[in-house]
Amino acid sequence: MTEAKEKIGKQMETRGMQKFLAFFSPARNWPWKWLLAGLFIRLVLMPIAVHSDFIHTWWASACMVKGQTVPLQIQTLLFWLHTDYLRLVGALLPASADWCTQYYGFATDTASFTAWFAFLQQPQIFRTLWLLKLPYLFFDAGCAVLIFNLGATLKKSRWLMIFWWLNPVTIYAISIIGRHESIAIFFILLSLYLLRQKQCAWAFVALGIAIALRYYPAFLLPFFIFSLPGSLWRRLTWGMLGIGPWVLINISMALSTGRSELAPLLNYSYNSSMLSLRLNIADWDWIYLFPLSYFILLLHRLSNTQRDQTSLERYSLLVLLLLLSLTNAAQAPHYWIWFIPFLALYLVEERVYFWLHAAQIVFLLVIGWIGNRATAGYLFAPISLEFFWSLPGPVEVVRSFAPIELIISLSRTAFTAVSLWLAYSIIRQFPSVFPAKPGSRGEE
Amino acid sequence: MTGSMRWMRWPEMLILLLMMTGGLSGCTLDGVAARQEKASAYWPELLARQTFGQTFISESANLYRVELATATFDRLNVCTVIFHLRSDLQATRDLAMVTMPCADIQNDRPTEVRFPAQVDSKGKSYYFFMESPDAAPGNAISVMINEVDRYPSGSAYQNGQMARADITFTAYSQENYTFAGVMGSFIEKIGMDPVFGTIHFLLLMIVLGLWIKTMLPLPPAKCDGNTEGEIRKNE
Repeated sequence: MTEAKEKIGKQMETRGMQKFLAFFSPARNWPWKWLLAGLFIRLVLMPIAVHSDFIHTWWASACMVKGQTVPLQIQTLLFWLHTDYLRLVGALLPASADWCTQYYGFATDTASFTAWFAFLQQPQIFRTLWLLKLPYLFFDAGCAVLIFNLGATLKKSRWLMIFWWLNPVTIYAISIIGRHESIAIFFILLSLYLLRQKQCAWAFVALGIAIALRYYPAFLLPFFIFSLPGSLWRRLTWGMLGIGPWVLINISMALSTGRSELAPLLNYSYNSSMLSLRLNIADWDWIYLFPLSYFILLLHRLSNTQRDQTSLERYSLLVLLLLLSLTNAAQAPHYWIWFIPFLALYLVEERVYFWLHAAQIVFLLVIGWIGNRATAGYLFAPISLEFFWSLPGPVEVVRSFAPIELIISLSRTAFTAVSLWLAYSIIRQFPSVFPAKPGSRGEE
Repeated sequence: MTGSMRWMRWPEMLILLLMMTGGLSGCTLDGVAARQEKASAYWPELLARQTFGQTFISESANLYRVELATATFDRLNVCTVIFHLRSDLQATRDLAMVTMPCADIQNDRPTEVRFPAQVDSKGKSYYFFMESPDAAPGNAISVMINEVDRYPSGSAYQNGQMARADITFTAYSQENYTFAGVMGSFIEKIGMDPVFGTIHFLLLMIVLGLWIKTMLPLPPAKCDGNTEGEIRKNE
């Protein structure tokens, strides 16, 4: 009996290994020239560039490593992952032991500049940044591998991989700003990959992990549920699997600390930002544009008979385009990366719209001026704090000869126009959701 | 040079490098010498025989400018404001004094006060205060403050008395930078962690080497005039 079990175990191990190797077997077909170029750029930027938001996550994790209670309110899973990684590499990080007290200002919003200066001036800042960005690089590379496996043909796979790996938005968000966006995106892409492999349940679990990590994929969940063919029961199961990881984390939090993410999430400051674009009808009577367009899109999804992975990917892109166009999400440069994977999957089929993405990048760069020095010279402060901290930001430079607010707002308007045009081009490719009138061409 | 490497022309690269070097050589930039940028309220009108002041420590040399968050109560005031810079609260001698009409005081953006650069200001404490000898109720300006005393290196003073608040201000110094200086400080920082510097440099060189290898048109692996494939075929 035991021998038989061992045999089965070994067989499963071998199968698992075969599957794993099969996943990486196309490596010889990867566009190595571009991959190495992208890797070189990332390795150069990793230790010398960073945004001040970077320290916030790591500060809390450093406190958790020290066993201190941190008032975590949201994205607990993300902090847990960072804490575990910090435990792993803590010995190689000379300053990590003091972070908890040294950068306390970031949590209390006091003396944040002083704390940030202290972080940038530590003697081993390059090593610190490099090591702390390393997991983001791994997930970034993982995204490239997954997106390669989503291509219909070898040529398309290579194009997808290059689009992700050399996209300025990807490099800016992950290697320069140094944010953890690649982790959630990895799980979204893993979900798409698992769907291609007909592993629906695991796909929704992967999406659920992405939701627990970063919340915004929750906007995609209804489109994942309704874009695939299945019975009502299956859809209910997928929905539960999709929110399962977040619920489990909250149950474990509630049991251990007596708190959950729900209340802080409902009062999250970004919620109001998502509702900031609105039309006033009368007192207490507003129409919020992002929710309005989201609900219309959901109705479109429910009415659309095309139920396959392509429609899922395109609806997901539509949601994220609307999110960036109609909320202030575009003001945070690391959020720009959210729509890149789905855009890649669309553009690989419709390359004629590639120039629209180029225009999006230009407009986003101008919108990013809102951050002024923080999203310009400050990013390279690890090289020379004094010099890069002194460099005037784009707002200061442009303001001397042009109305900066007007320029940024016009770029924002143009970005929204381009994104909505892109959204329209996607919508019109879906089959009509309205039944054709008798006698009309559709009935002939 | 192969077609795929046509973009790597040395003259262009040299010009770009020279432009970068030239752009960074001898430029003078503003450095932040001290800053308390939070504002939660503003003080009442600055009337005759009153002073609003703030102590701070300059973190860099060549202190030459202070930007103050001011308020005009959205009206045109006809008065005079005198800005004094002193070494401390007890000092009676001005290090700098600037007189300006109330019409120059801003309401929706900071008011800039320039004075002769204080060459040895690095690490020194200072006290600035404003007075408006001809101001009267309805014809006076004010300053923005943060009601919570969060600026650790100084405090606000109202008529010479310490207030549990900070004036909203930014003090600037003039900094001269050269390309060599910036690179020097960069290299100095790398030198502080030679182990990581060496490992990272080697890693970069490996990736660069592999990339160059993919860019170069390598000759087919020949063996006695036959390619590897041909040898296998013959076998």
